[in-house]
Amino acid sequence: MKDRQAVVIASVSGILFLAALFFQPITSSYLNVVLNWAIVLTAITLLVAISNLVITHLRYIAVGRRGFLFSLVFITAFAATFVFGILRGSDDIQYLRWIKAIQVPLESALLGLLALVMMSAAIKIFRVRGWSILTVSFGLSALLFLFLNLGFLPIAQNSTLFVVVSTLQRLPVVGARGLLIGAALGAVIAALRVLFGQVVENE
Amino acid sequence: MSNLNQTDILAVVLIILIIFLTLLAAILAKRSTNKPLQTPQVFDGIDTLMHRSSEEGKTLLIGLGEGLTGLGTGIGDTTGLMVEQFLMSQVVFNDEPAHSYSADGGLACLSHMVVRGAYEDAMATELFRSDHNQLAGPGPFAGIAALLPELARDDNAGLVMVGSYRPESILIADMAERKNVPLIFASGSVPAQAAFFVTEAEIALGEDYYLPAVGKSNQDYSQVSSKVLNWLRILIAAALVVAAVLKLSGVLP
Repeated sequence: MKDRQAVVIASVSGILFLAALFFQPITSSYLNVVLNWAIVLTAITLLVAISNLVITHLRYIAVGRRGFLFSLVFITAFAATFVFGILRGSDDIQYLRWIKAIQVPLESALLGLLALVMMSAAIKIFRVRGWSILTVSFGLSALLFLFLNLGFLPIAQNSTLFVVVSTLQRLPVVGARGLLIGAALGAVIAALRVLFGQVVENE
Repeated sequence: MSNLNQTDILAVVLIILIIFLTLLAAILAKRSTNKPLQTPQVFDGIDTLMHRSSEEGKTLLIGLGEGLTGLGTGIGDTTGLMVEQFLMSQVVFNDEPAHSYSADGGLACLSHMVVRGAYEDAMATELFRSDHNQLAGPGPFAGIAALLPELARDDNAGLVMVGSYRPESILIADMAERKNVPLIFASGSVPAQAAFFVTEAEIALGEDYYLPAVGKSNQDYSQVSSKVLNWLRILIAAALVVAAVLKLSGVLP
């Protein structure tokens, strides 16, 4: 019974919110209040999750778990960022410069690594997935659209070429729309299942 | 009165249609003796990983993505929580408990409740520890950075990534390949699906992601959902063909 109460409250709230979305001029004030609650709740959940993370890593350090040095690095970095942020304020120029000096090189390195990984993965596709209609068309279309988007073709001078290239460039949009329709249908069904409290029952 | 535009009306009609079809499929499922639809291969793979974790005494890692309350918002991303609920209930008494990671505060809190609930259901709350479920970071890149060192450990049975992911998460797949850790990937994001298609990971393509029919559990719901999805696909395909014909013949502007 206790479980059902939570499901019923969640379902009724969800259905009311869904209905309110379609009657926006009348329900705008209600939606704004709910949105503000959601924002506050989201911030609190992040705070709770961060607290849990910090406690977990402090425990790892205390028990000397294998790899606890990473926990030490995490706690030190978190404490330094948090204390400096509290003392100087999150708008402080020096604080922002300090954060940027760490974050920008890190993210640049990550993206550089990502480019290499994606390139090597693209080369490996036929070894990994084998030769099939799907993999060949995937590889060929990737190459074709890379070439088309490089801008080497003199499409401005040739009207026939322009039409052909424009038509080809529309194809990914067509494919993406097809996939998105399927994904959107799946999302609606999954959302409705959550909304109506159809939770998973384990055997 | 409200000023609903054409898109709003279409959305309302579609939602009512889906609710109606779901009810119809649920009623027909009770009477029908047809062979049930097969579970997508990717979710069978989760079953295999679960058994491997139990037999080899290794940790099963679960990545729940970055969705729900952050930048990648979408209620469909709760699919990861459904999979987690099932997985956790099966691996509570394993030598090594499963660990789940979320790159979003709200998702981490919900996941915490799911994991705790699994231990409560198994009447083994004394085995529950808060580090079974962790926040991997407040964003997608932080999530990737947090998952990589966990994946680099030697005692992992496999990694299941179900939720909202970006193509950049392919770095995780690369690490999994180099460490010989089996990876199962299911995401509603089309670019992420395309990025993971070129890796060795078992992936769910298209809307398969929304069918968390893990093992034999949840069979009724997944069967009904699959049937509704199939019917809707046929309806939409037919509507698109009719609309194209009407447009070409000049009936539609």
